[in-house]
Amino acid sequence: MTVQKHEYNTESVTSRNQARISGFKRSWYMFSRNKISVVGLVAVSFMVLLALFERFIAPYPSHAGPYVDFANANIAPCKEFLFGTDQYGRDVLSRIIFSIRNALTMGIGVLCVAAPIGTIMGLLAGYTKGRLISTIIMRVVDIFLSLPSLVLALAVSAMLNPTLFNSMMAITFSWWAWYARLVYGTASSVRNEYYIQSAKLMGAGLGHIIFREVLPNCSSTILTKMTLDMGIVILMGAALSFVGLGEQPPNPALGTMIADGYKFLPNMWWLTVFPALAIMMIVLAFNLLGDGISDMLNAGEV
Amino acid sequence: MKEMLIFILKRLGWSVFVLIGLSILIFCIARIIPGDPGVMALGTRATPEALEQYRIDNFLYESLPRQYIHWFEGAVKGNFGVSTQTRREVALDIKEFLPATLELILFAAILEIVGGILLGALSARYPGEVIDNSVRVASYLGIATPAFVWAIMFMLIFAFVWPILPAIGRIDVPKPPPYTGFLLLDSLLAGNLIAFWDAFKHLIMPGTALALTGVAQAARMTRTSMMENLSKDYVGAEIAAGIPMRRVILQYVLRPAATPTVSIVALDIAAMLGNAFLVEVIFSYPGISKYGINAILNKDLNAIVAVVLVIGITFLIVNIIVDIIASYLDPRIRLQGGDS
Amino acid sequence: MKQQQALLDIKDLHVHFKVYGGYARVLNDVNLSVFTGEKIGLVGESGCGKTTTVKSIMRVLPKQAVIAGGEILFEGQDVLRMKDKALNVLRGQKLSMIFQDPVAALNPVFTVGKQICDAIRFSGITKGNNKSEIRKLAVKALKECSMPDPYRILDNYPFQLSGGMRQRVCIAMALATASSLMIADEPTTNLDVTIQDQVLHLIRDLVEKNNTALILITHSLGVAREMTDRIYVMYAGNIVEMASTEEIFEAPYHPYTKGLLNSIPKLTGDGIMAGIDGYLPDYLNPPLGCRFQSRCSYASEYCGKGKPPFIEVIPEHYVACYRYSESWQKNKLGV
Repeated sequence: MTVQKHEYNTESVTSRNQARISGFKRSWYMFSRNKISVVGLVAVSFMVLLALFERFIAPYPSHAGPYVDFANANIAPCKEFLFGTDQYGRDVLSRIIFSIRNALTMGIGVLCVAAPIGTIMGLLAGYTKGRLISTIIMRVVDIFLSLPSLVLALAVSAMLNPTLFNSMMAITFSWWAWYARLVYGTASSVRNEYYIQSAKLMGAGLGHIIFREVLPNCSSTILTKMTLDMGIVILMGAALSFVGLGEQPPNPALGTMIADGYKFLPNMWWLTVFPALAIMMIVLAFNLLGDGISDMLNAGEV
Repeated sequence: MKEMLIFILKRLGWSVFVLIGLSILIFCIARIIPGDPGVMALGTRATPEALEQYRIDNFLYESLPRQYIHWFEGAVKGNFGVSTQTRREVALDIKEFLPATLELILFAAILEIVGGILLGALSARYPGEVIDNSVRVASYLGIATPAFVWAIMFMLIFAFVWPILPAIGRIDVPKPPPYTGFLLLDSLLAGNLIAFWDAFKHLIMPGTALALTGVAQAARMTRTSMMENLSKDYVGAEIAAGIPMRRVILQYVLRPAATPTVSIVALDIAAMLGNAFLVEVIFSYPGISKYGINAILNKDLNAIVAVVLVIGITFLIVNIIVDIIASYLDPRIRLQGGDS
Repeated sequence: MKQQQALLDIKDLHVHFKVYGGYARVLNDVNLSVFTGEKIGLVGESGCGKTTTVKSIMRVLPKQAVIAGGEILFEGQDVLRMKDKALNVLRGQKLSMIFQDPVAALNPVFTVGKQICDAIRFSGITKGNNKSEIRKLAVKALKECSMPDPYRILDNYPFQLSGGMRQRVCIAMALATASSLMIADEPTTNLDVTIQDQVLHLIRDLVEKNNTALILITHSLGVAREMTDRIYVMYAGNIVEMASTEEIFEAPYHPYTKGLLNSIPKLTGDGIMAGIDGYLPDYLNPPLGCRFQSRCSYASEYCGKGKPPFIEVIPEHYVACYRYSESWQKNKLGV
């Protein structure tokens, strides 16, 4: 009989694939440790499905446009119209499903532009800290952040024609600076690390150092912030459309629906309550997902 | 004390720079955008003479930098031009509407700080227990619900279904003499308690609607940073030295933990300044934000630029106050200059 | 010495940590006793459970830790089952602890003076809340730790002091209230080499002067030899050997202790020290039996069978190893 030597987890992993699977399992454990995050993931997936297949899911797809049917106007929630109908006889549920698509488009569109711009600015400024270019970038960032984002977005979209695209531009304009400041912090603190110095000594170019050496240090914070920001950006979009600066009627937008509906309170409560609940659900789902992702990525201690 | 003074002066000097940058930014937004500002302001049916006069009054025939300098000279003297909407000096409008908004924001900020720190500290003290879990659920709801949705829900519940609070406006009884423009303060100065109570009731709904998101955020922040501080060695050292847990939490942990919360409050006030644009419209609250929304919807350029600038200044002042509080709470910021 | 009641007696202590994948069984049946005025060394490599052991005594374990069994008797009372109030009195008056990292052990946003004064105030050694008396005691404590200009130090914030100064402040805080047991958790690890000696001497002098018992945690055998009367060697959550300091250095029995001693660099410069191959076992799935077996060159079939007994090989010298059990000896003779 031989002595039973103890084997370690890491040693028993033989192939790369296995390592990847065990890494994935571990990430999933970190993510799902808080069951609420899983709820968030499910809810976000559900909304993405709604947005992708709106035409097939919505009971009355044509109601999401210039549709009028006064015979069926102002019906309270019933079997036929689960969330009731508005003053033009349009199904509220169908309009909500279509506006979820707009809301997600807005969130993704804004973040996919604002985050890369802000990240590049932040990386550049962080890496060149102490030099003129860094000072200029960060001063501009300070100026952009000296105004509440919603106010800046309102001011910008006031000057443009009110469309979904323009409101996205306005929010992007007021949002990139947050990423620049976030990335700047990390980038400026790692720029003196030895691995950066050694990359420099080996003759790596600015692009290589910034994107291959510095960026990976910031990626988990950027990703976490992007998930959490989805909710905030969608809220800002709703706020803009609430005052009439977003998607224009007859196209559906959650903010517009609430703005139109609240004049009919309290009798036709369904015009306001359901779109409001929809906004809350979307934002809540992204917040829960973001918390889970941050648990997963920032899992320093077990 | 001396370090504190230098710290504040540095902060102020920096703010002047940011303010000038901000004014250039806003000015550019208002002028670079395509379209004729004259037509935007006066509408397509304006007579050519009126358009011509508008262009001359606003230096539209000069180069952009010169236009800015003209505008800047006026702005320093408090002259922001005339509003095409109210046909009054923009400065007068701001003077009339700004105190209402400041009063509202201040009310909401106090609600946020007191509520947020209290709830956060409670849930950090009893993690995993009923209070913690309810605060967590409530804070998720608070963060996910936009202020204008709160506003509408409050309106529905407390003005229509169970009408205990006034739905619109700032005050229903005769106004106290305007010493400061802050109704609560003015009514106290005039010794008019009826006006005070009425103005206070008008603040409850919009103020709470603005504050709730922030309360949730501040509570979560306080909880997180308290839990973080609770796991630090110095807490162990203090407990090991025989200092009772209660005192360790209320004093030794709450103070370092409050510093990030205070910074969060600055961001939340920014959010409040933005959300006030919608909340004031919903409650027909006669503040600068409601005025600003009307300016935005009517493309009243002079008014837009002035309102945005005033909000920028307000936010800068808030930031300075928050920095001072933070440096009082954490001596490292004050004595080492901090990291701006 | 064995007849008198121990000041501190840890019996069969088990502490587990909740982690990814279950419970890490970090402390596995730790027994340890300290007598009045005695200086104990707790030696072992990083991660072997030294800090967890002493944090259990003070009951300042992190949240994930679960005390799974055993008792800690201080003057006959079980610390683990004590009410908070009684425990606070005990911590204030009888027990004190110096932490590894003086930077982390002082609250960054309060002055040194406030922290020392609060420690004195809540220990209850002064009657009521006499500020000037408390302050006087704080100054006295700082002076005893040979701090220059104690009045100025009281008004300083921790970040304004150097590492050595901070550790002295911690020691002053621990000693300001006369205690009967002081726990020092690697008090010099984070200090410059030149300061280390001063701090150690300070601790020893103060402890001897006040007849305070000391538990010194260290991974440096040299420090332990200089500072202590008796040494407990710890490996992976177990006490593997206990003897007087002299005995441990002259005649170590446990293979792990031998390895540790071999890994001390010698000033004679005869090559590199031997060291011990391998790593600490996984606490989640610790091997059955002796936890050292996978790194032990003497391991045999016995070692996997059960926890090795704690054998008194010669009077007052205990070893947890099958090699010294009767059955092993018999078996060996039989072969």
